[in-house]
Amino acid sequence: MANRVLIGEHDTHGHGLYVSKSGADVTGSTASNLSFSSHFTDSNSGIVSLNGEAFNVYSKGYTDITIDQGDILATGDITWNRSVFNDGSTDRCPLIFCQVGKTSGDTPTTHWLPCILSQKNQGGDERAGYGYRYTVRPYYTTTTGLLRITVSRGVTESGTTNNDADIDFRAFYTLLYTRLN
Amino acid sequence: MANRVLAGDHDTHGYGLYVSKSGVDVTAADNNYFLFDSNAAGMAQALLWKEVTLTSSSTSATITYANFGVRCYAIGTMSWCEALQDADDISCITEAASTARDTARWSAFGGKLPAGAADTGESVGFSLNNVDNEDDTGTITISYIDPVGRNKDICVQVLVFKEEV
Repeated sequence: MANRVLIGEHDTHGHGLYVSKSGADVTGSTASNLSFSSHFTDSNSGIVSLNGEAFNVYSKGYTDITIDQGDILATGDITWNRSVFNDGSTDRCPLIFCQVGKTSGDTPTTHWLPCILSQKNQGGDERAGYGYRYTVRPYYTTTTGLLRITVSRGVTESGTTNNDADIDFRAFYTLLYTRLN
Repeated sequence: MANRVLAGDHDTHGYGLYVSKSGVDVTAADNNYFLFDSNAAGMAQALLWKEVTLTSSSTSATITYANFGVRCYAIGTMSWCEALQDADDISCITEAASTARDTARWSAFGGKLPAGAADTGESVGFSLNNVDNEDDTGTITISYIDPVGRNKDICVQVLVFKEEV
């Protein structure tokens, strides 16, 4: 059985935590045999390496959004304190994942992929489509960043508004410590 | 308090390194609640999240990065201009503390959201082409898409993570 986990000094990669893929010896020198390494570096020009960091979560949660009868769009806002992502001199932009469930509940059975929310009907005409989109404004106010989630149930091809009843959505979000460079 | 870290022989999963989430005993059989599992087929690790600027006169950019000879995924989001804004207004990399700049924003898709049935959006976008150079590096080419000639600056944020196989 191959050695799979090394905590300590690796002969090639130095001190750290290393895990090899099944069947590969973690003490070997081939980086592609490692499923996890704490020693990823990148010296290519213009690259600020994240060094293989995990997607560590700062905060997570959900917000409910209701599109009222007769409307096609509704929004929900999440804010965070910019100082959380201050690197000592300037504020930084966090990576955020977001997903919208079709109905309310702790575990909606239907989750959408983001939709472009802009369908072209005819020449020069652009309309909202069924789905959602989220926009991140990292420096929205002097102290807070903003995640704005917009859900839509679209419009008909003729451009008239949707006149269906109220509909509820649940938007899940995750703010990560990963920062843009 | 639950056992959270196990380095050694797990009764169910064998030798390895395991970390469970808060409140879950790492010695239990169910590995659905492991934050770290050395028996996983691979572990996604972030390599870079970089922003580039494209304009109507500079319509592509490349990012060459270390991929360690394994498959890497690239995901892009973008920032877009409205009215007289340019790249400096929409870039999301950094801002001085206590200074607001609400024009900086990114989304999985660019463009202004239609606010009503008759409203229009913006029609600029981008494409990503991620190539394994087979020398432990990869190169991503980001290309500007502007089918209706809006000639607006965009910023594209490219997230790259490796997925070992």
